[in-house]
Parts: sequence; C-alpha cells; structure tokens
Amino acid sequence: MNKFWINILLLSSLLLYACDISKNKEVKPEEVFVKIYENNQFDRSFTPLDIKQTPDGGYLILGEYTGSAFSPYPAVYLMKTQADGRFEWEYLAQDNYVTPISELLPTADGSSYEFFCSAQTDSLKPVRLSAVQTPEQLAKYNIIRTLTANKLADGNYGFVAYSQNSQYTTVAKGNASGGVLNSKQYYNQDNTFIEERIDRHLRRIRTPLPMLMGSRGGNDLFFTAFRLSNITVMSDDLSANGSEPKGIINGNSYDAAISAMVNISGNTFAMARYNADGENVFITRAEVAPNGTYTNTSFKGNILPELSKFARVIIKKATIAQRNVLLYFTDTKNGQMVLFIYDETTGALIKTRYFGSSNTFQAGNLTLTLDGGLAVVGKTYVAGRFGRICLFKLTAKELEALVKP
Amino acid sequence: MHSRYILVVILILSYSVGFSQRRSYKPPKKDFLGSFDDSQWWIGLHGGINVAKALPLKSYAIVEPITGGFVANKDYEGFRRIGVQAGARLDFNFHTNFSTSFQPTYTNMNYGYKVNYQWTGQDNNTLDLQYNHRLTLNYLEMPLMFRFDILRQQLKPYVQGGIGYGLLLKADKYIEIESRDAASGATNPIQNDSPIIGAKNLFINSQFMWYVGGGFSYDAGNLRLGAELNYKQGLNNITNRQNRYSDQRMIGMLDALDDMTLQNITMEFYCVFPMKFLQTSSFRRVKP
Repeated sequence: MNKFWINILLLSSLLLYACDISKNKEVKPEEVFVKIYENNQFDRSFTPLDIKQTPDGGYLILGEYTGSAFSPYPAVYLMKTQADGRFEWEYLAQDNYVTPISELLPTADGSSYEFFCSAQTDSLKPVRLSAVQTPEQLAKYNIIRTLTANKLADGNYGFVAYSQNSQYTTVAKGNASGGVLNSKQYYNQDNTFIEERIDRHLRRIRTPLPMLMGSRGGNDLFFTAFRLSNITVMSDDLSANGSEPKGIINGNSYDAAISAMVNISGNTFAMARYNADGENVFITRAEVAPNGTYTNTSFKGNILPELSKFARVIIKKATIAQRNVLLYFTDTKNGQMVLFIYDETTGALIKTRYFGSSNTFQAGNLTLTLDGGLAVVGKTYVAGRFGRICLFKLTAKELEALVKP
Repeated sequence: MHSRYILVVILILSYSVGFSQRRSYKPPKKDFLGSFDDSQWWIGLHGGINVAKALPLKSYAIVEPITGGFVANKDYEGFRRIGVQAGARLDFNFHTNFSTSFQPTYTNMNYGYKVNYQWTGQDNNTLDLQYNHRLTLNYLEMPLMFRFDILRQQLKPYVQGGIGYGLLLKADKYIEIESRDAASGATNPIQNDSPIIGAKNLFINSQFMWYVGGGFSYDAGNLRLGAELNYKQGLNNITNRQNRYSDQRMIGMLDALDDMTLQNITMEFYCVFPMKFLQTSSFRRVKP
C-alpha cells in the first residue's frame, strides 16, 4: 500500500505545481487597461495630440475633431478620464477654436494645464486656453497664422508662424499676458508650393508638417522654418541682430524634414527625420552646434522602413527603473503604434513594444504615470472607418521590463 | 509543462498496471480496503459530447462610451455549442452500492458571446455590427466521482457527484463579424470571419470543478456498459487577469475577457472491465 500513498502524494504534488489560481490575483483597474472612446456617430473623427496625467490620477487628453459644422479646420477637443480610463467629461469647441498648435503645457504654478490653438475668426492667431471642461481664453497673441507654440525654459512662449503669401517664416517670443517680446523673420523665397503645404497642414489633409519650437540653452531657440523651398531647423537668438539664423539644418525639399528633436544635454540632441521618399531615420545621439550649418542627411542613424511614411514621431526623455532612456513613439506601415526605447547614454536600442492590431492605430502621445507606469494615447479606426481615441495604460512592472536588456 | 503531462501519464499507467493483474482465488486477506471479495476494480474508456456556457463574474470592456455613446454589453450564449470529451476511467466498487471513479478526460468545450455596435450619421448612414466571439478550450480533466447505485440489479440507475481538477492544454478564439452596412450600400447582412487567435495566454492553466449527475449501468457478463448525464460547474475564475489586455489582436477586435467560470453539461457512454476475478479459468469476477 506504500505505492498507493506514494501515488496519492505524487498526484497532490502535481496539482499543487500546476495550480496557478492563487497567482491570478485581482489587478487594480487603474493599473492596466485599454479603452477606446466611442460616441457612435458616423460623421465625427477624433485625433489625440497629447496626454497628461492629472493630480487625481485621471488623464487629460488634448486633440482635435473633424465633422464640426463651423470650420474647415479640425476643432479643438479635450477629454478627461478617470484613473481607470473611464470617461469623465469632454469639450468640443463649437466655434472659433481650431487646430491645436501645442502640447498640453503646465501652468506657471504647475497646478493644471493650458494649451494653444488657433483663432479661426482672427487670422489663425494663437490663443492660450486653460485645459478644463469649459476652457477660458488666457491670452491671444498678435502673430498671424501660427503653426506651432511651446513653453520655453524662461517661462515665456515661443511661436513659429507663416503669414499668408508673406514669403517669411515669423518666429516670436511672447509673455504670459499676450505681449510679443521680440520676433524675427526668415525669408523663404517661395510663394507657391508653401502656401498649399501650409493650408493642407492646417486642414490635416496630409501628414502634418513637423513644426518644432524649443529652448537650447541661454536665449537660443531651435525651431522649424521654411527657407529656399526647404523645411529647415534653425538655431537662433531672437534678440540678436541680423536676418540670418546662427545655425541651420537644411532640408532638401518640402518632403524631407527633421520630424522630432529633443535636447539631451548641451549640443547633444535625439532626433528623427524623414527622407524625401518618406522613409524614417532615428538619430539617437546627434551633435548640433548652435552656429553650425548642416543638412538633414548629415545626421546618420537607423533607417526604419517599417514606420509609416512621413511619420509623426514623438521623442521623450525618461528615467525608468533608474535608467535614463529615450522614448521614440510613432506608428508603422501595418497600422500599429510602436514604442522604441533607447539608452540615452549609448543610443542603443533596448526594446520595442507595439500597441494595437487588426484595425489601424496611429500614434498620439505618451506620458509616464504617477504609479510608475506609462499611458499611451493614439487614434484607431473602429470597424476600419471611425477615427476614435484609444488609451493604453501599462503597469510599472510592464514598463520596467521594457528597459531591462 | 511537458513534465506535467508525462507525470500524469506515468501516474495513470502505474495505477493500471498495479490493478490489472489477474489473480487466482486466495483466502480473503483483510487490508484497509477490506478483503479481496469485498471490492472490485473496473477499468475502461468513456466518451461523449458536452455543451458549455460561461458564467461572467465581473465584466470588462474596451469600448468606453463618451457623450452620445452606448454601453456595448456582452450577451453570453446559453448551452448551445457542442464539444466532445473522451478518456479513461478507473472505478473502484468498494461497497455494494458505493463506488468511486477516477476519470482522466480530454475535454473540448465551446462557448461564446455576442456584442452589438451601431453607428448612425447623416444621409441615412448607418452601420450595425455584431461581433460573435467563440472560444474553444481544451482541458485535461481529472475528476474523482462518488457514485451511489440506487438499485442492485443488472441495470443499475445511479447518482453521483464529485470534484475535479482541469489543466488547460489549448485555447483558441474565433470572431465572426456580421454587418448591416447601409452606408456602403448593403441591404442584407454580410458575414466576415477573422483569423483564429491562439488564446491560451488569456486563461490560467488551472480549473477546479464540482460535478453532479447520474446515469445507468448495465452488466453484460464481465463487461459493464453505462450512460450518464453530468452537470459540471467551475469553482474559480479561469481568465488570466494579468494578460487581459496583452493580446493586441483582441484589442483591435474591441474585446477584453470578463472574469468567468465555466458551466458544462456532459452526456457520455462508457465501457469498463473488471480487474478482480475469483477464478481466472472461468473469468468469474468478484461481485461485492
């Protein structure tokens, strides 16, 4: 009978070994989720542009929507979710506020967010709105047809504009109350193709132009401008004399451009660019002197044929599990969002992570969350046709696994 | 994982070998199972069909309604889809009316649910979609049943109940999309199939169940034939909570699995042979 009991023991051990019920613990709904926000309307399409987490653990999503009756331009859309992704409120601009031109920017006291969009009834001048359920207009700036805006290191705001038929890119710095502190114009020498490109950019008929604006230390800014029928990235101090920028990265047509650029430190940047054929290149460490002259193709990197042509690329610096990394977020030709994680110091790829499948998914933006996880927002085409906002939340554990070699 | 299956096979074989030795009659020798004459072992095969149903414990959804949207609930099917099961059984008749039965079984279960979506727009643009989700789960089940024979005759009605453990071997998901697409000019429903999605990661490996049922057995000489009907109910959530959102294809299909247990009704037939004989020359079996 010893054998009988040995077998019983063996059977019990087998069951205990195989049993994974005790490990299948409840997961808090705010730790991990996927949501696709649906309003069941045939004629509306939503595109997210940025996401930030709010102090209550929820998420604020800035985007735009088409299908409004009042404008040929996409209108401003704001949505707030709860911490577990459940819908809380939304704001659909019903008049005037169109084409968001910035990400969600922290307010001066850091307690909430604001953003820039264009005033449709006033020459597409930039207006700064509070990112709340009923946005309040905080300031308007007298800069016609502004294409991008950003908050600068000194607390002021930087703008890039291209007034219709002017042949000049206007770059300006403004203060919090709507005053323009200084500005500069850069001659383009083209008045034909650029007008069509900018109009299509503003109406989102083609892939938007990659408009950059940021600080690079001291009074120097880096920004996208148009010059000699090229999309260029310039470095300049707006208070300096002269009509030429200090430094420049020339493009070779309106079809090739630096699509994203983030300052790592000093003159070192993380960049992405696309060639005239639309194929994308990631340059994880590029040295760009403030007064240097370059061309796009001066910067060699990793060619990524899997990415969408003329892809919109988001680059963010992050520290995950005590490791400084660069997050490159974009989308692929087969309709998935993809996150590339690079080591900030070496520029080497650590891991990739894909989001979505079956229907097309397009990159919106991403943010690290208070619980150490990651929130990723994008656009998906539900049933293959309805443009809707989707939100993916990863746990801290999942995110940390992505930075481990 | 393979080591688990090998262990199970070794275990079953060791039981079979141990109890399938024919022996000539010896004077009764008492042990903890009683004397030789007091019990009988039966070994054989069983198989049949089943219908399954999921019982949702907690609902999860990917589609989140915003202003004007509606909640797209899952509509679970009843006991509708047929599966099959087959396996071995080892019965131990330790008392005139009482038996236990160990029945390692390969069980295939099918169940499903539907989700409806509707979009409306200007110019009579409408699109109705019905996503039919079907899941196929294959388990190696190891139930231990306790049986009571109601009558002692050649045709025995009996009732039984028991508990069991199931080890998930394979899981697949199919999605059929039925559309009424007036916006594209369709006047009739159109059915589209999606590829099969391997879904094993969406479930945990283990499932404990309780059983209740009954049937009839018929003693035809040294052969016992039987038919039985059982109801089976899972005791634990089988959805893998950690992997609920891990399959990107499922997200594209707007689906996240609910926490759920399984319910199952099985109908099966079996055939078992006795292992203990009083005289091997005449194959006179022990009848407790």
